[in-house]
Amino acid sequence: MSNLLRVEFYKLIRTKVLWILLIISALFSFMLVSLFYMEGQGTLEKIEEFSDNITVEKMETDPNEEDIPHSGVNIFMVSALSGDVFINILFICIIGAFFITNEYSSGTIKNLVSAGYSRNQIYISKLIVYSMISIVLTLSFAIFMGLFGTMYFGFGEFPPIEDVMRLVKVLLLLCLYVTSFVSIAMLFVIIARGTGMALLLSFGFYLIIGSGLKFLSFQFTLFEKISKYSVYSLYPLIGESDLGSKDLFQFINVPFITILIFIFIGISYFKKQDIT
Amino acid sequence: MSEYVLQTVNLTKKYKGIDVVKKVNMQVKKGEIYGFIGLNGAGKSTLIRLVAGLTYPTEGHLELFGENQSKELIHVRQQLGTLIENPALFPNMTAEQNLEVIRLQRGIPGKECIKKVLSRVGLENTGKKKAKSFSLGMKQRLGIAIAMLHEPELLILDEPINGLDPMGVVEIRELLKQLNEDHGVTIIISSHILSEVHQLATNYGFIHKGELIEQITANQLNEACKAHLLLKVNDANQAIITLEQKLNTENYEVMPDGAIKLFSHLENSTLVTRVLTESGLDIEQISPQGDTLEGYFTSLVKEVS
Repeated sequence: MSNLLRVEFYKLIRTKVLWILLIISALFSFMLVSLFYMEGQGTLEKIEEFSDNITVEKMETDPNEEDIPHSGVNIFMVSALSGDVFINILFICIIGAFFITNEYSSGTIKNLVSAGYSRNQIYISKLIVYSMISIVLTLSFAIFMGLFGTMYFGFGEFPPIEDVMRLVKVLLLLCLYVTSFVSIAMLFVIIARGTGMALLLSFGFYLIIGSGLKFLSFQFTLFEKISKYSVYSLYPLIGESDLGSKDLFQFINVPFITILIFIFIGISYFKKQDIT
Repeated sequence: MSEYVLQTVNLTKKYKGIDVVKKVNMQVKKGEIYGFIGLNGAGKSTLIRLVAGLTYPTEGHLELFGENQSKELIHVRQQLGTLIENPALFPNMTAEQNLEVIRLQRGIPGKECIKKVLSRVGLENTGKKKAKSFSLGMKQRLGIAIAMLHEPELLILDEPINGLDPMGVVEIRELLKQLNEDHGVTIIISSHILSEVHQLATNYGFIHKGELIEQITANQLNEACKAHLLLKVNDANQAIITLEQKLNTENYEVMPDGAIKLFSHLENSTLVTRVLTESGLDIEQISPQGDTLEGYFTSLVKEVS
């Protein structure tokens, strides 16, 4: 299994799309922070306004306010807590569509399957690496924002320990949710085998279940209940909640069960798949 | 320990109700070079894919290195090296990088094996050239290198010399012979270029419309293809005496059905006819026989069609 993980990382770092997505994330962050710096307005408020899912308490945005200085670390924390589910899912679907379907289109999946590994091992190793890079991609925006924020405003003071602990909890939950998104996307990528179709199916699923369910939930109670327990609906609430024990239980269980279900379906499908 | 590296028992694969591989009973012994011959669409690649674990049989089973349970089969495939249909390469990686993927996958320690195998297939000077820029022949060589990198015990090559120039064909042929003779690697090679298979194979399997119609050793094939006059007479014993006394030859073989293969006097069938007739024998058939591998295969296919 360790061999499989090593080779998946080797292939991943040579996947051009990964670097393109990271560059996009960096450029976008740079533009955003630069813009806000040049506009001279409250950067933190602007970040929140920009994000469709405002998940953090509004922080003081008066640049003249000395109590909450604009700093790299604050910008990082705000960005990390106000993640955009749409962009995250899109990045996850894109990297999966290219990274995994590349093996089908080039035929190298044949070498892997006939190399003496079980299909379970192959699937899990790809899922692990896919999840790890998706987490990196998801966090990259916040990291770049923090870096460029530091460049413009300085690093700033380290936040209080309670904020740090809350951030750690949120980031850990973020990892869990990203893994659940990956487990869903991976199933469709394996089914589709081609890049375009993989992107269509995986992102389409999010649009139908994520946004579609939400729309239907306004009309029908049944869909409201389903939507309430969808990872796509819960993800934006991570940063908003105080993460008390009751909330935490739901926040952990839903993605965990999602991961189990989709891994089970994905492996079952992959095991029966004819490799051409 | 089974004497067979690969054995299939009534191995069948159906796609949408159509038998692509039909009750194939195939045996490949350790150390053989097995030439797998068949027309396009005969089922060669499907059978190879069944052995490699890329698809699953509808009926029957296969035994690889003595193992036939699915868990053990997965494990013993580590001793298998395959080139199935087109070479499977990462187009944006160099030859070395493609092999590095395989090295990591297989857990082979040390990178020396990569340079060594590239040198063996004649790709040591490709440098930073990406696989997508390779010619077909270069891709084939890299595909063979990938199959060989981990020094497998069984090498399965599906059309390995496609796209190779004449020098390349000779090099690969010599390489495969060396692997077989010096390292005891068992090789299954399927190819449409029968003349090349003929120069390599120690055993043959002929497949037609999904069925394995014959398995034969190279010696048997050579005997079957050897030029001779086929004699069918009413009294084989009398015919033998006549041939020895009147034509002074013992260069013949009597078949189980009483027919006689005469390996001398091939240019003089008239003489043979006269001698046999003068001995009071009734001649049912006297005809020149003998064949190339292509001709043998074609006759075989016609017989079963």
